[in-house]
Amino acid sequence: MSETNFLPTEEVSAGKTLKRHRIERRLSVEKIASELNLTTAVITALEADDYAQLPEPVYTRGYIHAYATLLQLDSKPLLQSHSTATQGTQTLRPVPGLDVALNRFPRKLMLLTATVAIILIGLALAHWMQERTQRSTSQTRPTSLAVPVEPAQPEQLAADTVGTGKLAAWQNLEQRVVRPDATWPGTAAQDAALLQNIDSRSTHVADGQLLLRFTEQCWVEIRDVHGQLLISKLVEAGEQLRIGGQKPLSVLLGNAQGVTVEYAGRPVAIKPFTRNNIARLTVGADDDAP
Amino acid sequence: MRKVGGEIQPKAVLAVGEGAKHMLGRTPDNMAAIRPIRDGVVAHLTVTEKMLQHFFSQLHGDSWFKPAPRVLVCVPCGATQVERRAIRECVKNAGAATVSLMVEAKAAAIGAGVPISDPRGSMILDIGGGTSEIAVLSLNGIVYSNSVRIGGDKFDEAIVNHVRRHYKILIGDVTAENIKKQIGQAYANGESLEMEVRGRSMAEGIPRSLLLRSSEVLKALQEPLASIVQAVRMALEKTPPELGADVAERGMVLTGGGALLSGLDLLLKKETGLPVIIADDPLTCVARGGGKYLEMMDSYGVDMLDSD
Repeated sequence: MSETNFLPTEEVSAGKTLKRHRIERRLSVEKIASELNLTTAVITALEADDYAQLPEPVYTRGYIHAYATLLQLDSKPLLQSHSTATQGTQTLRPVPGLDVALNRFPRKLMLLTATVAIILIGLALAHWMQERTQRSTSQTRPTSLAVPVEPAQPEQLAADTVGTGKLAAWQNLEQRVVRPDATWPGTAAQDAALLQNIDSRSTHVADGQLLLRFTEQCWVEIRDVHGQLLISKLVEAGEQLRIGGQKPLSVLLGNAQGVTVEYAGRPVAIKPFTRNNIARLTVGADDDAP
Repeated sequence: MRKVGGEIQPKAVLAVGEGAKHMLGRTPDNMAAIRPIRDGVVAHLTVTEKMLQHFFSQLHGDSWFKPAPRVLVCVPCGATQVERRAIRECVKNAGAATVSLMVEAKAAAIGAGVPISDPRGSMILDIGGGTSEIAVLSLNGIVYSNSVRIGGDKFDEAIVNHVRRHYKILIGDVTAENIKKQIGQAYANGESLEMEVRGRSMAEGIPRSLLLRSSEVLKALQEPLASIVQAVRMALEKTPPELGADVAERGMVLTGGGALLSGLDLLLKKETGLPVIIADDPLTCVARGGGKYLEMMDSYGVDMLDSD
């Protein structure tokens, strides 16, 4: 193994090598410049390795290659020395202008925004689906918990008074709606018995019972603590609704201005829970009603 | 590509790219070696689709999940709207997510490292297989561009014709390409090379060999080279004076496989009086430029270079 292999390799300077060979061949800078169609200033800068005075690397490398070829030299080592001297030059960028800032809306931010939007849409969809399924199941379930007492059907009422089993079942209902001006055709004795029965439930507002008085037509939806739907219907103006259930009850009123709410005998202010005339509130969360 | 009946129906792709190139002119009756892209435009739609699908599948290897790629296609500036549309459709059908088109000369300039974003004129000459593109660029835009349907293929054809005319011997395209690569010259620089070529004698019908000299190849290439020089002169004539001065000061950059033809830079230097620069690795300039542009699109948006 020769000794030179252990010596550090001498760095080849493109400009110095070219200059040395030019002088060896007794060629002038002007001659080289005219052969390469370049100016003498460019040739001088090339020989001085003054890359600041020269155009971008692609051109400078071309000049070095052409110069080396003219002097019948191998251009590879010279180009290698040039590439180590000039590295990481950016040649492509947007033309600076007033609208560059607009075009440079950060892509990452865009992606983030899109992701958040997609997640929100997904959540909303899931919520809606859940609501829908719950509503459909509650519609199929017998709505025995909320029975509006209609003034009609006197024959049925009469029959009920006769059939004590049926009456007992009817009396066991937990909620009922009473129209105050209801008139009850039928025998006086039957009527009196019935009215007394109803009065005993309607006039006394039991603890934990919700009383809704409607002055306008309003959609009502009430769920108990387990999320079970107690009532979901459109109530006409002038009706009253009395709901009992495992508290707290979550109440949705579609037309909040047409309803007054009482819970456990005390009026409930629904205004703070109303938005766009739709009230969403929970009553009976603790003993102090909202 | 297997051939079905008389019509070429891509039934099964046997080889693509370099492997298929070796089969050119050497296929039996039930196969066909096809060049789906000729003169810079799609010549065979279905075969191009198959070829692209093969390239796309190579991108992801054996990975289970293969996302559809974004594709940037470089087209000659002279490509008509119909041709561009055909390319778009073809790439979309091959399974690309999005397709953007870009003028080839611009991609070549980016790949070569020409500072096209500066307010300075840069001239680029890209001699590809089918077409030669010449363009003057400034501020990320094209000031002048022209496309001539002369490229490496035409050089090969000229060599085939020359050998046939002067030696009455028929040679194939692949042989012609080898001749061009080994002893092809665009400018007489005093160097003389020789190569033994084999072909079929037209008179006797049997294979013959001949010794071809580089000076003959130079003669054969004169016609297509003259057309390219003419296109460059035309471009210089039509370039606005300020940009012309920039080009004259810094020179013109050569890219594409044609730039590897020995002495082409000397020929252009003599004919135009401009400094002529051969880009580093000229064969891959367009591909590298397209890649750089795709990266830039991510950070600056699609319209940065006003591609269509």
